[in-house]
Amino acid sequence: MKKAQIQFGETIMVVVILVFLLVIGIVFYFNATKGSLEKEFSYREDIESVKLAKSVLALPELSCGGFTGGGTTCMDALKASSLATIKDRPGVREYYRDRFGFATIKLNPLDGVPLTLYDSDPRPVDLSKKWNVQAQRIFTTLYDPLTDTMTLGYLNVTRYSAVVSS
Amino acid sequence: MKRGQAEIIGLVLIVLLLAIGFMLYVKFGLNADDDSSRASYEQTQLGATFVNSLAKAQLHCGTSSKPYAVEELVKEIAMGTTRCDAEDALTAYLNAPGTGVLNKTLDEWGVNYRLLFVKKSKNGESGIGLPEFNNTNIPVDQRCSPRRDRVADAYLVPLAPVPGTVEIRLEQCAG
Amino acid sequence: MARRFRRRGQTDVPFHFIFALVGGVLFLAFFFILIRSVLTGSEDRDVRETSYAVETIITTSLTNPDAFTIAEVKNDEYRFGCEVLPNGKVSESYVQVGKGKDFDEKGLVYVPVFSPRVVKGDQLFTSTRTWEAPFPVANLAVLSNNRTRYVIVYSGNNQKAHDYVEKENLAGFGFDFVASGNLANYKDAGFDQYRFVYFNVKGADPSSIPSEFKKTGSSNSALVISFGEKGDASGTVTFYDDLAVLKPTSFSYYGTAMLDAALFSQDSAVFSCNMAKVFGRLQTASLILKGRLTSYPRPSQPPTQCDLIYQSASDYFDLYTVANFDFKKFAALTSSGGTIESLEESNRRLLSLQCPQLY
Repeated sequence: MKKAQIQFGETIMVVVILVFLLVIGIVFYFNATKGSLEKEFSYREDIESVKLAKSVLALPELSCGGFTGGGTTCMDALKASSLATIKDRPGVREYYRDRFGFATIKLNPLDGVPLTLYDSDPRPVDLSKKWNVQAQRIFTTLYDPLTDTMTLGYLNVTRYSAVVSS
Repeated sequence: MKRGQAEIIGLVLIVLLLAIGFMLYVKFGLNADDDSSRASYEQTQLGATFVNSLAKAQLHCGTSSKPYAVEELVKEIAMGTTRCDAEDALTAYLNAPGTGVLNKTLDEWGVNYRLLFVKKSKNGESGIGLPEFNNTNIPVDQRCSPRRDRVADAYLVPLAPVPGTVEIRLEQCAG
Repeated sequence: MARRFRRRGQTDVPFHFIFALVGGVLFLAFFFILIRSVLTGSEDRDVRETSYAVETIITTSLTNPDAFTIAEVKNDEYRFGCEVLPNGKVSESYVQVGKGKDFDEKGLVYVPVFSPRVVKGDQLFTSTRTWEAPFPVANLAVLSNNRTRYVIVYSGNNQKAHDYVEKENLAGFGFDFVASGNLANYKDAGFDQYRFVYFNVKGADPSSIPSEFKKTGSSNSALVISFGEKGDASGTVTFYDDLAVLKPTSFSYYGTAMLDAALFSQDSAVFSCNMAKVFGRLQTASLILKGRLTSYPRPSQPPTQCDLIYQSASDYFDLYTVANFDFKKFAALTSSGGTIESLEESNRRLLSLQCPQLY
């Protein structure tokens, strides 16, 4: 009787260990999948941040005229100033919000006053979420058509993305 | 019977230890943030846009009212045909305390960089008479140097009609 | 007693065997389901990543105007879709990889990309042109690959056509140049699709395209370009979307960037949907330029020639700020003596007077 009980006990233990191993395997697998999804998400956010910064520099409505020889990193200072003035008009705000999403774009001329070209910071408005903040600085040449000169400046491009809760 | 029981308990203990060890490895191995690739994106954007914009930026040199682009001055310095005190003007433009471009930007942001102007020709590389610029807020032994891993961005100024080019090169080291 | 023990031993063995069998099958079944779900998930992820990669290739190319690039991609079929609502707003624009269902329907809603509807293979050719009307409005991406052929049909001398392709930096896309009189001898060389482009040919007639290219259901198409008074700078483009039916759809175009966009669009729907993305920008660009004028020095008394030009320019910019811009409204701006011509002339005069320009 006792021998049978021990044998039965052994069988049960084998089943328990097998189930335990299976559960461990499942937990490892889902952790690994979650980890790689988070990595992919983070990688995408980096790419989106770089894309946003590059697209701001390449905005045709802010570019210098071809005659200035300013190249691809040249922004017209007066166009930027004009956009800073009209950025909150209803049509303009919606247009850039659809394109840029949650972001803040500031132009900092080295010899002038900083300008906010676009501002849609969700953090003060949407307190229910946590936000990732990714900031890029990119240099640009600034053309002043009134003095026909090129000076140096940089853009602060900040992108906000909601944290994916785990 | 006791020996059998002991064997089973031993097996269970080994499995448990292996499982815990593996779980710890997976947890720390997967959650380690891969900051290195993102850091390189930010560095490359900064470097490439810096050299491209710097080359086109203009400054006054000497008594002329007409400003000169940095790339124009660099070409003249390299060819030895400067009409004004170009080396001093460019050095001050970049490095003057409080007002220099580098002081107001890369130095303040803590970027560990090395900005140099290098003439490239069939005979190799040589300087053009401008100093090498580094972040003066960083201790000398920790500054960016050829011994360290770095990302480089360059803008090429052709010296036509003379053969060769001058590279405006910004190197960035991590940390 | 011994007999009872022997029977127990005999029942033990089958019991263990059955138990092991059932446990083993369950165990294997579990792993089989797990592996299948991993493989399916991995395929979906692959498709999603490729779709995102192509979106990124196109979006990044927009930041490098006039550069022709060849991107290596996964060997597959890439389907470009674009849907526009009656009010002119683009509701969907995307790139779908193969028959994958995992793609962003709005991935390209702000990206004007002019291309065939389906591009097959492992390479994508892209180039970007800045559209000016007459001030810079948007960057337009044109896309194709080595399996699409553009057949430029010319009359007389082919030099103008060659020059145009060189000037626009489009040679890498793969062009054949055929005299209109020789088109009947043009043979199918096995490309996935052909686009016949009549390059300012008087009396252009797409019915003369050889019948092997006109089979029902083929993706071949034709475009007839008619230059206006100012050469290739403006004119009319007429699309023949289905060579079997040859129903024309015409648009006015302004600027070689828009002409390139028409050249690379497979059909009129692709062209008009992607131009809708661009028309949406005219208003913002003109508002920026109008605001820019307010930074200029105040007019002197009496006003100088430059002051008078700035004053009238402000009124011209207002003409761009109408709501729901479309081809009809745009055509009104491009008419002879119209707004665009006036702005161009004003800018030329400002340059000659050495005053800051309008754009």
